[in-house]
Amino acid sequence: MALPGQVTPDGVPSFKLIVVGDGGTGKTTFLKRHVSGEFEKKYEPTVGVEVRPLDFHTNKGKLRFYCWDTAGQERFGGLRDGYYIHGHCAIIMFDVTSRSTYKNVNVWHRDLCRVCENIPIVLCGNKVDVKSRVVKAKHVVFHRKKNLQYYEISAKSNYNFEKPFLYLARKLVGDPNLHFVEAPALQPPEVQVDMAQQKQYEAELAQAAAMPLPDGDGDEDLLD
Amino acid sequence: MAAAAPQSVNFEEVSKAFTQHFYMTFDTNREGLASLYTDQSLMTYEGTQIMGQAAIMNKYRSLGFNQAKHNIKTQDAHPNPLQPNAVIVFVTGDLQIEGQEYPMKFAEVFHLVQTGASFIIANHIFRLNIG
Repeated sequence: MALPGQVTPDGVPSFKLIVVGDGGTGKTTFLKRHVSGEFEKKYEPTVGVEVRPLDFHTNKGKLRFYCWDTAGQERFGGLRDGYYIHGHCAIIMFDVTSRSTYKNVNVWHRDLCRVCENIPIVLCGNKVDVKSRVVKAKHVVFHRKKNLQYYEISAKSNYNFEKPFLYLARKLVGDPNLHFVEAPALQPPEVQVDMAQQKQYEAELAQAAAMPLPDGDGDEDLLD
Repeated sequence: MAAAAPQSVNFEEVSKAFTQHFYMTFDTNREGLASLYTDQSLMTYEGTQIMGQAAIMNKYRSLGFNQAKHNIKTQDAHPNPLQPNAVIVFVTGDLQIEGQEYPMKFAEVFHLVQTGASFIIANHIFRLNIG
């Protein structure tokens, strides 16, 4: 099949996936769930990046995301342009138990879009397994303002692990019906997601999506 | 023949003592760095310019890690020919922060100026060596 992006030596279409978000939101933990990627990861000290090749099997064949993960430099300030350059797609991650990480999503989005124009982006709210979440599903509106896809995930429980990759794969391939034919091997879950609770979050999200967007661009989104 | 610049400070010794003190304080008690800066101190941290002790300490507090360990690899010092009571220090090394598998390379410059019996940091530039 003909796909945009690059092709690995063995003919697998591949894409650079940029992962950004505040330190401690679970970016590395999320990527580490994918077992074979963990074996093939490579650290590039000159750019301060760990690259994990994550393979997915679709009805149109195998494809690979080269996932770029920082070595922690975001904790000092922003990232270098080299981190973003030639990115085909991106995940912006925040932590639903930390308001400041959600507030910074617009900074990450701005930095990302400054270098990568018009690439598919997924916003991920991580740690939804934690009972004491403070960024409620209905408070998450950033993706609606910027036309991003949003998923609630829990890296430690594997909840919704494949969703961001499937969304990006469909966008990059240009086929909304693309689907995975084989689940990737994942690390066993360390925690369980309360599915009844999660159903309620999803309902809140759906309800919020039907409401008009609040004005403004900042903190007021987080007010009850 | 130009006269040698007056040498009121032993720049090598100052540099060594300062470097040891600075990184030990950073790694064990970051708040303790406050006394090294004045309201005129200027810092450029990963490209962001910050002026004055209070703003600099806020920057230190805002860093996204609590535990850090510096491993100094090189340290060079110069006297300042136009300012006998000043020393320029250039340091490179590895910086390991909590929760990260790999240390990062960094480079850092300090312009130290003697005030009374001690030295303060007049200028401070920090960069991670990546990208």
